[in-house]
Amino acid sequence: MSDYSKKRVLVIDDAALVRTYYRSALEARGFVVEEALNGLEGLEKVLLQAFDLAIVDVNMPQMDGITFLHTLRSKELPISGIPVLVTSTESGMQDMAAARRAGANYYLVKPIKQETLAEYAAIFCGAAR
Amino acid sequence: MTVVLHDAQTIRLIGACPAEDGETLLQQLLANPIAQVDWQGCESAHGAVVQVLLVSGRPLQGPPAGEFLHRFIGPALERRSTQFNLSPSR
Amino acid sequence: MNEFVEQFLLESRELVAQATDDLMALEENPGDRERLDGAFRAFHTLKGAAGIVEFAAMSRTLHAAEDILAKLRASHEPVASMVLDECLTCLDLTSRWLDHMQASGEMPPAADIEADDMITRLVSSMDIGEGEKGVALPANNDWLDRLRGAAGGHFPEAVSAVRYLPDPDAFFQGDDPLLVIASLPQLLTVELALSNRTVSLENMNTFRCDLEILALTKAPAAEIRSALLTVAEKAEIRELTAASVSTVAEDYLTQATSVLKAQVVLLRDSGFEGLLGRLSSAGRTAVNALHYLGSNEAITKVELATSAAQAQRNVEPLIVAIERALESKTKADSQPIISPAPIVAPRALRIDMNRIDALVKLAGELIIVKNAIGHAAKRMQGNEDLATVKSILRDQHALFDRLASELQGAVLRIRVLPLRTVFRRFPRLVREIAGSVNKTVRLITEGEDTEADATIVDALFEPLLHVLRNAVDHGIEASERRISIGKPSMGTLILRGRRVAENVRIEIEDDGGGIDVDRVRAVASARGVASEEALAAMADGEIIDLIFAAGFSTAETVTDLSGRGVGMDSVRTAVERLGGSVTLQSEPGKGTVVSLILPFSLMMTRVMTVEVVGQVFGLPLDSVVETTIVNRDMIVAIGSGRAFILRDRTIPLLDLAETLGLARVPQRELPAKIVVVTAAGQIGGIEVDRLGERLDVMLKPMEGLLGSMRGVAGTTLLGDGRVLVVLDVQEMFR
Repeated sequence: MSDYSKKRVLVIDDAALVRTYYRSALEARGFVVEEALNGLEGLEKVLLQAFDLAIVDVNMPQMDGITFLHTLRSKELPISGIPVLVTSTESGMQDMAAARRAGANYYLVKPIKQETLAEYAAIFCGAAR
Repeated sequence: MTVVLHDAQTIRLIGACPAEDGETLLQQLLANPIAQVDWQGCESAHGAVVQVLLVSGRPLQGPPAGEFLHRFIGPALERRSTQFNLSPSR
Repeated sequence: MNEFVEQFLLESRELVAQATDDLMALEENPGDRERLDGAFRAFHTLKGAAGIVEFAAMSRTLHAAEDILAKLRASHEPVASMVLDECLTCLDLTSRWLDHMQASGEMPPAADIEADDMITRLVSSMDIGEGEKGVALPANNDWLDRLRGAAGGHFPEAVSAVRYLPDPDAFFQGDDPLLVIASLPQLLTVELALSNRTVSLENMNTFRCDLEILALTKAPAAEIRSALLTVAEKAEIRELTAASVSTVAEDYLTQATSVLKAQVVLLRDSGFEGLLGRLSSAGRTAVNALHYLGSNEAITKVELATSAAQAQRNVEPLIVAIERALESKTKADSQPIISPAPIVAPRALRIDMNRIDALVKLAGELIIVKNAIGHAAKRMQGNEDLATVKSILRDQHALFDRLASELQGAVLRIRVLPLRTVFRRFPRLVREIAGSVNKTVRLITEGEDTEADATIVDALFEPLLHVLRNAVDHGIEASERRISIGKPSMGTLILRGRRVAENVRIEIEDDGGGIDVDRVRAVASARGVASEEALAAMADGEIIDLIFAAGFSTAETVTDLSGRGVGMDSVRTAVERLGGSVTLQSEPGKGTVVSLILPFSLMMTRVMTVEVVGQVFGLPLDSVVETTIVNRDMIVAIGSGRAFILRDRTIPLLDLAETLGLARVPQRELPAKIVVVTAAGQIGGIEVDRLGERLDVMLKPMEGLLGSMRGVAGTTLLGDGRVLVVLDVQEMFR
């Protein structure tokens, strides 16, 4: 059994409700959660701390999720290799394709149920079932 | 040939209808503007054929022989044709 | 409904206010891209919030509005007012839904119908706004609704919805899009439409695919995504509701596999930019997904492949390793599945540690009371003197009563609210008020994040509205007048909140004409608020303060806004009831600032009112044991004082009128009405003329002359504006 409590997840979303919703789902499973309000803040956090997963919204003020991802991936290792799960309310193909081109490891369409999100975090953090 | 003109009233779809049948069906429909389509003998139909049926909005005599057509495509076409008939502009 | 409703309501109201602001600014300046972006974002976030609380009607309504705003953003044309109006109406509808949810805790029952109606209005506003531009494609996001309509509610078990728009060349390339759909697992229904509505039998090309295929299935989205992998770019997949619990376990295995597959797709799609980051993240993700799946033997291989790929700056080794892992995974998939432990979603609420400490302290005190009661029970069993036990029980009950109400208060105080919750309602209201008196006024709010006790924040709406109304109505001059004196025609109101020590200060500032002291003086004199001599002796500041006097109104014409017979006096009363105060500064020609100073937290005291010689006093309820009526013959004189017998016990009795030194008409015939109180561990009786009601009040400590008055705990304002003196029972029996 992997130790959830050491797995760190960064949630980047401009909507406080969404962050709280994700946080409560993730913390219930023992993940350590950090929050950022936009891509720019997300980058700052990523530079300062190590994360096992970043969950990133697409549509955000100041720096959107795609730009965040693009910037992140073009940085020096090891931070450029953080697995990133992109979330968006857009189920369209363009967003998904854009996210993948920017280097997203997975794409989920909002709204995402708490248990679904927590389970994906478990998949991404290698937590054994 | 799986698209057969039975009489001026009925065009029959029989067996498995490949993409090419779409064009044949279209020509038959254009030539027989009041004909209905009888697909009771139709086991499967390519999307191209179904698309012609969809555009035509013609009444279908069924049920079709194929399971997928019967369960899913038939009801979908039926909903469309009802809507088309209700709308005078079409 | 879920546990996020409360935050949802708070945040949604904020977003509604924000969107309203932006739309209103757009109305003034239809070319303002920033405002358009802001409105779009607010609608977008609002929609997301609705999704979280599973409010489908709100979600799709906002989606329709968001679509419109997205189109406007793309069009680079000024925004038509018609469209704005509908978007504002949409926000109004949303507000009403939120009100309903807040009031009843339930989703509004008619929301679906209202949503349908609103969506129609939104869509048609856009059609008119856009003019004759031909038949548009079915809007990108109405497909779910169309699909639901087609299903007609027959498939509540549906888990995923698919929209598939095959390539127009699909037929030509020998593909059959229907076969793709037929292969979907657990298919429930299929809906067909034409992606190009101008197609007719006469003009159609049978080799061009114009189909739009929609489908509902019972399979989870991840499974559908896998089935549609070859046409992923052409398909849109939506998870409708959470997969039913029984399918969850299987579902997540599929999802983990799907995550693995996605890494292959990501790597295949990789250009050279950020290659190392992609490789590393894909490698890490794959390894972790394999961990999750328990495919431990593949992990080392993928790890090795990751470093090889990085060394060679080539994605191939990693792709091969992940694909191999996927293959062996499929083979090994016949093992039974162990379902994961149920997930218990916790309620998350961030609370200040101090508040928790207060609760802990109260819990401790409650346990002490519990122990004391237990002790009394033991003494009763041991045939101890009943009176002593009774007295202990009574005291402990009084203590318990106090602790229970404190606990209740502490729990309530856990919730502080930002002033935003009340401020955000005003921009729209001020606009309406100004419109109705033909003035243009903008409201700027500052310090919305300042927090205060929820009770205070909730109670602020009315007094603030009143002050704002007054400012618009009497403060801000008419536009012509403003222009003539060199002011901008649009008046400015600033609503500002900030924390000052233990207080919250709210200022309402206007750039209007200020207060005409002479006129106030004249009106005060004419209405008899104060005598001529008194008025003459008053400083300007004191004169201005008369505005808060009861029955004062300086408006020369009674408008339907402020002229409702309640003036600024109602504001002062309301604020003082909350334990606060109101002041006003005015500079002629420049404007007025009304300041409300409120305590950060409320100290509510429960009191019982009693009447003596026609005056009402309050007794703190936590010292009241009981009320009783005693025949005169049970009252005896003891030394200089009196006592009465209650259940075989002699209890000292005070006459309230006498204690307070009030004149008193003796009425010794009627039985005495007595409030039995505990004071300093003793029981005492207070004789009064009448027993009143129980109230929750904000106690204000006595100031000035009264501060030294013996036996007074504080004062509070009653609903009718009268001052209630609350007595200090402990002090009275000293």
